[in-house]
Order: sequence, then structure tokens, then C-alpha cells
Amino acid sequence: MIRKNLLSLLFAVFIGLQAFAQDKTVSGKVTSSEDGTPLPGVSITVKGTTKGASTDANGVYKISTPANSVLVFSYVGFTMREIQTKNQTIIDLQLSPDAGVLNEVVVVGYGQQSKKLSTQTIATVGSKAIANRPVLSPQELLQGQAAGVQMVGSSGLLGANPVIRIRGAASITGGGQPLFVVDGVPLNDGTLSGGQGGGSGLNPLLNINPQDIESMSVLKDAAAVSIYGSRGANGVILINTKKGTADRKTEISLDSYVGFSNPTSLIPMMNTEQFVGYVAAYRAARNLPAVSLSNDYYDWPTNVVQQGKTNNISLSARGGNQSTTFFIGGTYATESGFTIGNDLRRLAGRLNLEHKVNKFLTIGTNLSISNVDMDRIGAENNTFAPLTSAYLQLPNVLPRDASGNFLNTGFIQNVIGIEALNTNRFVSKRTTGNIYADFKIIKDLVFRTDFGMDYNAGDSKTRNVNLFTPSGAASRDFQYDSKWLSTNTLKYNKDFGKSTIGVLAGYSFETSLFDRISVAGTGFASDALPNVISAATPTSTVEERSEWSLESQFARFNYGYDNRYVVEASVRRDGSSRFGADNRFALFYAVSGGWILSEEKFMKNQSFINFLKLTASYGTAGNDRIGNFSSLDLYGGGVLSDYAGSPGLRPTQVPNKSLTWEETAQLDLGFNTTFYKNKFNLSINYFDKITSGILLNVPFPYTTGFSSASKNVGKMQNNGVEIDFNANIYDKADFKWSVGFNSTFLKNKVLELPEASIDPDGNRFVAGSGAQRAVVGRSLNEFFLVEAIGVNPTTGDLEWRTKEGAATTTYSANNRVFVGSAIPKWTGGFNTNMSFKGIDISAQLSYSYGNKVLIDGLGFTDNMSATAGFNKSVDLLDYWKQPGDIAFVPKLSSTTAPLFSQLSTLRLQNGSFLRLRNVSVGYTVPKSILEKLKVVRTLRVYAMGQNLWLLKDKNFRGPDPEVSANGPNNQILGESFFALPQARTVTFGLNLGF
Amino acid sequence: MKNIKIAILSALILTGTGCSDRLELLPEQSLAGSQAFSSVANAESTLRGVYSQTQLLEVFGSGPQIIFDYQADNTDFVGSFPTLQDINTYVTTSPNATLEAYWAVNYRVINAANSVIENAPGVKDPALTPEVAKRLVAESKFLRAITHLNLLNMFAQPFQIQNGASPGVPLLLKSFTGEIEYPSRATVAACYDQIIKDLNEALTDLPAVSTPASRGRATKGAAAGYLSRLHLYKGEFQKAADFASQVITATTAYSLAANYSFYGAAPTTEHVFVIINSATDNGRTGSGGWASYHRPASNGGRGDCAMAPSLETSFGKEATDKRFVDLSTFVTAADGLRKRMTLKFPDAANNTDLAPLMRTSEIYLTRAEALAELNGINAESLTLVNGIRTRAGLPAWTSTTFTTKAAFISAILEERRKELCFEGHRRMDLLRKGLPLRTSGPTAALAAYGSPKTVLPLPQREIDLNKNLVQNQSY
Repeated sequence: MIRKNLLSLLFAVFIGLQAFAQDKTVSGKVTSSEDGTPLPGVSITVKGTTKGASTDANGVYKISTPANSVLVFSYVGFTMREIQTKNQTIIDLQLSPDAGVLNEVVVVGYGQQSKKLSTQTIATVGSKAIANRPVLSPQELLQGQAAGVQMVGSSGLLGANPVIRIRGAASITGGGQPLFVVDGVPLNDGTLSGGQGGGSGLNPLLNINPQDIESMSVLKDAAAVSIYGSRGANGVILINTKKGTADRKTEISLDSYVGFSNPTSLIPMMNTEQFVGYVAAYRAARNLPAVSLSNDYYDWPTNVVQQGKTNNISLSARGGNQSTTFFIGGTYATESGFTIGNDLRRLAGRLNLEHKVNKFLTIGTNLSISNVDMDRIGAENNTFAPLTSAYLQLPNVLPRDASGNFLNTGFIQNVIGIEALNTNRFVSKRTTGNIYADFKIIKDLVFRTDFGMDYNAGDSKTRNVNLFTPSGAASRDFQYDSKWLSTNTLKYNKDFGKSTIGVLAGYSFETSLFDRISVAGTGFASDALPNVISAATPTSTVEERSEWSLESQFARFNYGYDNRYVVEASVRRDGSSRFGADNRFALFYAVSGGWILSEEKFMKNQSFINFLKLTASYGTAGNDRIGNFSSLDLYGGGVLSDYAGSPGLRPTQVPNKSLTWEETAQLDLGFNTTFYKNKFNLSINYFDKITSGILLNVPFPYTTGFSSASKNVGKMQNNGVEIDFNANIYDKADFKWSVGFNSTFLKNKVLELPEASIDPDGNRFVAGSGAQRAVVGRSLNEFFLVEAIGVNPTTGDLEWRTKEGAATTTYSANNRVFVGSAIPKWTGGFNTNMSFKGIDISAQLSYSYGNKVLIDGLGFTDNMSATAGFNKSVDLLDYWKQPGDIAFVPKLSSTTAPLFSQLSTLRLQNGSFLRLRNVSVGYTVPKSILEKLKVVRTLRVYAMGQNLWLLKDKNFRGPDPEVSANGPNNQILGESFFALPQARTVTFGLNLGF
Repeated sequence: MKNIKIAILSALILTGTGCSDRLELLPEQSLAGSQAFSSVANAESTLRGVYSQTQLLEVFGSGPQIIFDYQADNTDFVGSFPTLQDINTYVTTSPNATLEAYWAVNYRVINAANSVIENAPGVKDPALTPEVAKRLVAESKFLRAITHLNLLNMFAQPFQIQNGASPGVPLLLKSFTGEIEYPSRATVAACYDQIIKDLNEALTDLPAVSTPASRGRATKGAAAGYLSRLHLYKGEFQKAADFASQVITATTAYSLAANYSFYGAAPTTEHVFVIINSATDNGRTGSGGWASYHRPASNGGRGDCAMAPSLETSFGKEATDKRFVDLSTFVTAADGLRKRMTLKFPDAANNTDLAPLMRTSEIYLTRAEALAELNGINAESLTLVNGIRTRAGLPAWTSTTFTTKAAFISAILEERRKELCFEGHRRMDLLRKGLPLRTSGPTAALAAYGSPKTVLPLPQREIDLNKNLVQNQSY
């Protein structure tokens, strides 16, 4: 009681003192210097006091201040201004948008931070960079744009899953894909469909409309990813979609574009004359009886390519008032690829809504629904892949008979007929979203509960007609991943004088069910019966279910002092159903610190450096991609176990109770500066990631009865430097020009593989494919091949190099040596943006240097044998004829000729390239004109070209240096059978605002 | 007050609502290992699982069997698969992915068989009578034996080279429980001994053939038949003749079919041992299968295996042979040229053809050859072969058709070739007689008897992983 009275007394004294000072009221209106619109929510403080106010919906504020004080106006994204009140009572002012990136807010795991003060290393691609890039898959937005992010478009196939690696591959067999989180919902990233010849399957982000994206944050260092615990080791990509805007007139945007695409290159193959001549010469040279071949000719490759076409129309409305904000968007896109039979249609809608119930409670939702309908084609090593088969098809084989009917052309099938008559369809339906509620419990303490879901269904249908699959065949395969998660967090942010603290604590539970039903049958009375029910013989019926769940607690604490020193710690404990009971739970953590030198007194008396920050972080994250039940010993039933009509069981998996997470520990040292009138920004980060307890599919000798089992063995390092440099060279109202450059130097090294096999030279290795392996002391993707020297000009024989270095005409796998890595030494990009009055020009280039690429299809098209049932590369015509010839191919009678196509460095290519990814020119019609017309608010027209120019090795043989047939598989990088080359696209578009 | 309630509520949500029990998930598609032998029914299923895996392309689903025909002179491989082409042109290298798969899957079968051999007798189930336990083990030993033989035929020289002292294949006699072992290659002789031992043990406990479907399971007749083949391969003619006789004397069970309609049909008395396939359950893969290799694209196959000129010549000597006239036709093969291909495996649409691993006619020919080796030209051998010739529409041989024992034996071998072509016998039938796999063409030298290239290389992956394995010569 006494204590309470004392407090009241103190309070009264304080009030009294306040009243004693001669306060007066200042009011005014804050607007944006850019377009004069009022700025709501601008923070106004009286310098040196704790007094503050903020602007209302109309940008109007009112604050009582002592005389002759200084008011500080600050607003996120705008330059802070300080104004002497003097004797004024009305102060109207304009704030100008901040040119630099440093006042930006950056999206981090479970929240956002001031970019200036954040100690996490995050690359952000914001809405501005996205706005002028009409692309169909979100990953394309990252290509060459963010240091440390290597993105390889795996092929020109529609919907192909690109390879993304963040600071190198942190795992060997555990999968390399980062975790994608959309508005707080970690996405399922199963592909729900077969690869149809390509190893990469379909893009898990196929259903996300890039035009709905506000920002993409790539979380790179441990400080950023450890809050995602057991799924953070490959990096995390946070995708935040567009939210509503308060107190603005509803803005309606219409974006429409049309694009035309062509393949960047085709491989030259023999025509009939060349083929028949070659076969005759080969047979004569080798004393084989002559054969009579047809002289018909059909140019398969040029007949399976066409001009692809894209149409996209997106319509959105964005707005709101003080209590409710919304973003509603819809898109319809159609795309036909540059090979026949490859089409895609996407229909997607989004509703992001937030409503303030009262000053304590805010509720909201982010919800997207989409439908993607694809006409698929085979890819890579699949005889139903149009371009692969077109390359391999004999040139004297015709697709149609004399009366125009399609012909069955045998094993290398008539892809033109297949695309005309067969059905190969994939429909994906996806609903992703969350609903949430924020309770402000007390000032500065917010509780959020968030319920998220991701339902992703894939429905594949095939129907092969009688002509190509005698009696006809059909299949239907329906699969879905259904996830729900509940996330509950408490956030506390408070300033105490010069100190600021932020606390986050959370609990989440996440579970996902995979379900699949699939049927297939053969024997159809008529090609006009499309469905499996009409099949005489059911050949496959599958029902499959698998579930996993993850329970987590996590927390983050940060402390800042005087905007100069920041420290942060985060921790996450994950429990997963994927691991054995003994190893179910694991702890991940990170600590980080930052020093903003530019806030120090000793930096204040210079003006060259505007901002300078040093950061350091260290911590851990894990990888749980091992399948759902890898720790158990299992017997499986089904069609691989049944016999003569009765069910059976067979051993399918070896037990491994001790299986657990792989853990990646990462050190990051960062340097970030802005200098010379905020014009230049430079970031340099050094990182060193060490993954231990690597989940390795340890190969067993087959004499065990098993091929491999997952074990936690091995250690690997990825270290390197990321450089990101941006310059706003001109920043005048009617002329702006900026350039950017980023580069990542990456060194990947396998440190230990204790249970892996040992090659004859004593190297421990794990083979990824027949051509590449992870090798201790070398990289994860080291090509191991017999080195071909070339054709000896004197003898006409092909020579390989023995391990000792001597030339030999005997091919032997014992002579395999390490001939380079599929991992680039440097990757990165350049970009530039220029605007002059209403005209804007931008260009992006991306590059890769120091990597090798293996084109496996050359093993077929370089086959010198006359009986091989494939067409041949025109390069085979360059065979040795007489002493002195410098030829690519050995003499036809050589004993080495049948071995020419054996796996050797002849199939290995230099994978370095520099590609003009994107160049665009746009014109924005000036406001003055539009205001007179009073029809539209904004109008921009543009033209864009993608992949218009490519610099590659002049000796490159293959479709494209930018290939990877195996998608997220970390063990096979840079290999392709015959990938579709990247598309060269020209797009014309229109952005309209109402 | 309201806020405090909310605070308490949120604290509860954050900490209290543990879902740890939801982390205990089990697979729905598989049984834990402990369940596989928890009852006789499950043990029977596990045994069927061994048969099921022998259906696969890599075991008895045609993969090794077509090699046995085209590495020799019955078939020309005209398909596109480079790893198979390499074998055809005798330029096989040890990284050959097809051979790697064959090796892997055959050992997978042996491991599954070993698991039944070890665990079936210990099944805790009142329904497990000693007879059932013995049969489960006997069937598994039979499957282990013939799978070891399949590997031996691919990767080792015939017994006749060094009298069995050359390297055979690793013998896998225990199931894998997690401790990796690195076996070395047993000698060919040791492999034969083990296979014969397994078959003899199986013979005692196996049932006789009963239903047509039982011809797709191990039976006394099948074990005796394989023993006759093994002893013939070893050159132990008396034993070969005796075991063949065990099959032949069970006349109600095994006899020559009247005609060739058994190809593409259900098991009959013609079949001593087959692997049963159906539209929903067969060894066909994207790479091939019995009908897939032997039928052209117009029938749904790949059209890879054309009749070799050498076999055409052989048939041509008696051109009315029904096995030639009725069982082969001209079609467009994989290389786009018109070639003669067999009709023994008609169903390329659904791949239901039986894998004809052992037919009665083989047993007849084995006994005929063994008796000829022992007794020269003899009446029983003539009768046995004449049964087969008559069915083919050819005139019967008489005691005067041949003047020497050697000519008689070589005629029996020729008959064997024509009767069993495309069923995977040719390679071993040539090598065991010391004959070259091919006599003409650019590969003749490499295909000569004793040439290291007549046997296939052990998979490079296996050599890399297991230091105790010695690669075959010249690879």
C-alpha cells in the first residue's frame, strides 16, 4: 500500500515537471516527394526525448514539443529528416524514398528485421526486380541475381525443375534443394510425377505465380537458417507474396504479355546421303557385306521443333483502409514449348487479407489456389522424348506412309506421330496458404498463432494408341502431398534507452501425408476409348501412403546497443518421425554479431563512407531428406514380390537404428559498406560450411543382396567468397542508371568418407553416376573418365591415355583419371538498369566458369558402328583417311573405331558460359498525359528478350552448356543425355494500372 | 485481465501441446523384418518373394538368356542398347551398366533365398510342420542353386578350362544382417560343388510336380533336371544320364508336347521348370523382356534379337523344320532391316510368356548326348532325339544315319541347338564342348574357345568395392 502511494507521488511529480516546461503543439502533413501522396504511419519523435507521434491515414500529425526542439521524421524506405521547430506551429514536409538499400526491411525466418541492423546473411530479390521480369517459374528470378545462389535451368522443357544450390551442396545423397517457405508455410517439394526420362521431374514451384511475389529472401548463413533447424542446411528461400496497402485508393493492375520462343541451338546430325555414304564406307572398310539402305530423307530434328508461344494475363487489386487491407490477384498463362507436344496452362488466384479487429487483435489470411495443366513430353534418355528421338532416328525413316498415315518406326519411335496421337497429360492442383491471428498481449509483446496448409495434387494420364503400343496402353496416376502445420510464436521487442532487445519464442508442429493411387492397363478395342476402364488387361494397380511429422521449438534473441553493436542467438529443437527413436531429437543453434562502424564517433567526421558494417556468425543446421522410414529393416509386398498370382514379401531395406540428421556448421564473416553519397554498395562475405554425419547412401557390394544403405558417415566442406556490388551511377529524376555485379567463388571439398569404397589408387569415393564420383580430397562431382588423346595422324587409330600417361589404343576402365569437376569455380551475374524519362532499359547476364559438362547422348550419336540403329553426328564424317590427317574420328577400319563412343573425355565438355539472360526495354507513359486521358493511372509497354546471346567454348558439343538432367540430385551434376536447350524467348508486354 | 488470459493461453500453446506421439509413424507399404517370418503364411510369402525376383529381366526375365544366345551364334543383336551392343561386338568393358544390374539382382535373389533357408525352420507357428519347413528350405536352396549357376554362366569360364580351377563367382550362403563381408571368388569347381550340393539337398525334400502351376515352382523333377544339366556341363555323363532318367521316367509328369502350341501358353508336360509371368506380374522392364527382345516394334517389342545367319544355315540344311518354318518370321527389326525373328515368345503386349528355363526336350537331349558319350551310337539316344525330330516334321534317324560316335554326338548337339535356340542354352553348350562361340566374322578370334572375352567382366563397381574380387582376364 505504501509502495503504491509512493509510485503515485512520483508519477504526479513527473507529470508536474512535464507541465512546467513550455510546450506547444506542432502539426502538419507528411507527403512523399515522389508523387505527393500522404504518408501514413510516419514516426515523429522529439530528438533527445521519448516523446513521439505518428501520422494518420492522411499523413497528418500533431505533436506537442518544447520550443526550439528538433523533430525527427522517420519512415521505412524513406530518408530520415530532422527539422528545427523554431517558432513554427505548422510544419509540412516531404520525405524522399531512400535510394540506398540500407533502410530496407529484410524478411527473416519468422519475422523481419532492419537490413541495416541484421546480422544475418540474406540475399533479397525485391518486388522491383521482379516487376519487370515476366517469367513463368519463380526460381528464374534468382538466376545471376543473388550472390551465393547457383541456379541452373536443367533444360528447356516446360516445367523443368531447375537446380538451385545455395553456397554449394551441403549433402551428398540427402538432396540439394533448399527449403521453400511461402508466407510462413514450408512447401512440400515432391514432384508428384515421373521424370519421363529426365531425372529432375517437375518444378515444385510450378504453381506459384511470380507476379504475386513481393520478395524472395535467400537465407544463407547459419544465423539465418538455423531457425529452420533440420531443414536449413541447403539454405532456405522465403517467398513473401504481395500484401494489401492501407489508406490508398485501390490500385488495379493488369499485366499482359506474349512471348515467342525458339531453341538456342540444335545438334547437327547426318542426313540420309551422309548416313548411307558413311555406312557404306564403314562396311567396306571393315569387310562387312554391303547393305542396301533406303534413300528416303526426313529431317527429324527441325520437324520436332517449332516456335513456342507464351501468353500471360494477370489482374490484381490491392488496397485497403486503416482496419482492412487486401491483395487479390489472378493469372492465366498459356505456354507452348519449342518442341512439339509440350504445352502448359496455368490458372491461379490469390487472396491476401488482413483485418485489425481492435487494437489488440489482428487476423489475416494468405491463400492461393492454382491449376496447372500440362501436355508433357518425354525428356532426356527417353525414346518418346521428341528431340532425343529426333536426333537418334535414322534419317531415312519416314514418319508417314505414302497415303499420309503415321508409321510405327520401331524402338526409336515416331515422335511426330506420338505427339499427334498419344496423350501425356499432367494436371497439378495446389492450395497453399495460412490463416493467422496476432494478439497484442501487452505493449511490445505479440502472440501469433498461424495455421498453414499446402495441398499439392498431381494427376498424370497417359494413353498410347495401338499404332505405337500394340493393343494400346493407358495409365492414370493420382498423387498428393497434404501438409498442415501449426505455428505459435511470442515476439517481444522493446527499446530501453540506447538498448533494444528482440525475443522470439515459438512452437510448431508439421505433418504431411503422401498418398497415391495409380492404375494402368493394356488391350483396347479402339483408340477412341481413352480410359483405363476400357483396358482388357489391368497391368498395374497401386495404392501407396506415407506420412511424416516434425515437432519443433525455436527461439531467437537479439540485443542491439546504440545502433552500433548487435548480437543475436537462435536455437531450434526438432523432433522428426523420419529418424529412429534413439535419435529423434536434435538441437541446432546459431550465434552472430554485428558492428556498425559507421555509427561510431570516429567515422562521423568523414562523409565518404555512409555505412559500414562487419558481421560474423556461426551455427548449425541440418538436413532430413532421407525418406520417411530409412532407419527400419523392411520387407515389401506388391508386384515385385508376388508370384504366380499369390502375394509375396521380399527384403527391401537394411536396418539402421542409429540413423540421424546430417549437420552443417557454418562460419560467415561479412563486410557491407555504402559509400560515396550512398551511390555504391559493396558486400563481401566469406563462408565456410562443414557438413558432418553426412547421410550417405553407402554402397554395399551387391553380394550382400543390397545395393546401399543410408548411413551418417562423411564430412564435406564448402567454402568461398561472395561479392555483391551495386552502383547507382546516376540518380536524377529523369535519368537513372545503376549497375550491379555479383560473383561467388566456391570450393567444394569432400573431407571424409569412412565407409565408402576405395579405388585402386587408394581414394575413397562414392559414385554418383558411371562418370562422376565424390572423392575424398576432391569435390563432390568429380568426373572420372578415360582420357582420350585423339586420333593419331600417322596411324589413324584413336588413342587414349594410360594412367601412367602413355598413349594406348586399348580402352580400359582401369585408365580412368580425374578430369575435372562439374562444380563451377565461379558463378554469378551482371545486371544493369537505366531509365531516361519514361524509357527503361535493363539487362541481366549470368555466368558459370570452371565446370565440366558431360553429354551422355554422344555415346549414341558418336557410335561408329554401321549396325547401330541410330543416326550419327555429322562429326563422324571427319574420319581419318590417310597419314597426316588431323581427324576427329579414327579410320573406319581401326580396331579403335567400335570403341570411339565408349565413355571417355570425348563426351566431356567445357561447361563455362556467359549468357545474356534477359534484356528488356520499356516505356512508361508520363503521368501528365495519363491524367488528361483519365482512363488509366499508369501505363508501361515493354519488350524483353531472354537467352538472346551465349558465349561458350567453341568446341562445345551438345545442346547447351547449361544442363543438368538430374535436378536436385547432388551426386550427379552437369550431366545430360540430350537436354532440351534453353529457350530463346522474345516477349512483348503491357502493364496497366487503374 | 483479458490480456493475462491470452498470455496464459499462449504460453500453454507454446509449451504444453506436445505432439510427440505423432512422431511415432510406421510405414504402410512394408513390414518390419521381424514380421516376415512371424507365421507360416508370411514365410510362404517371403519364399514367393524369391520366385518373384527371379522373374526380373536381370535373372530369368531374358536378360542373361539373350546374351547366352547372341554372344554365341544363334542371335544377332541389332538393338540400340549400347551396353548390349558392346557384348555383341565383344568390346564389353567392366563399367557395363547392364552387367552390373544383372550381377546385383542375381545376388539379391540369393540373399532373399538365404533369408528363407535360415529363418523358415524357426518360424513360431503351430502350422509349421517339419514337412513344410523342409519344403520351404528345399525350394529356397533350389533357387539359390540355379541363380548361382546363372551367375557362373555369365562371369566364369566353363569347367573344362583348367578343370574347374579358374575363378568362379562369390558363393553367398548366408543372409545379410548388416555386417558387410567381402567375399572372394570361389573356383568354378567349388561353385559346381555347392550348386550340386544345394540341388541334391533340395531333391530330397521337394514335392513332385502336381498342378500346371507347380511347374513354376521347384519340384523333384526340376532339381533332377538341373542336376542332369550340371553334370553334363561338367562332363560327368553317367550322372547326367541318370538324373535325366529320373525326369524321363516320371512319364506322367513330363512328356513331349505334340506340337509347339505350348509357346505362349500355360505350363504343360513339356515344361520341367518355368517362371510364370502374367500381364500384371512379369520381368519386363523398359529395357526389355522375353517378347520385347524377340518381337518387333509392330508387335510392341523392341525387335532387338534377330536370328543369326549361322542358325539360319543350320536350319537350312533341313529346310522343312517346323521350328524354322512355323516358329520364325520375317519382320522389321530394330535396325530397320527385314530380319527373321523367333515366335517362341509371342506376347509383347502383356509379356505373359513363360520363361522356359527347362523343357522336357532338353532332358531328352541331355540323356541322349550323355548316353552317346558313354556308349556311342545307341538305340535309346536315337529314340529320344527322334521324338524331338518327328515333332519338328523331320525324318527320324536310324542306327545307320551316323558312322562315328563323334558324328552322332555332334548331330545331337546340332539338334539341341535348333530345339533350344533363343532359350539361353547356346553359349554353355558350345563352351562345354570346347567349341568357339562364333566361327566367322570380325569377332571370331575373340569368340574362340578359351578366349578371355568369352566370359563377361565382373562389374567395375563390385571390383571397386570389394578388394577380394579378381577381375576376369583382359578386362
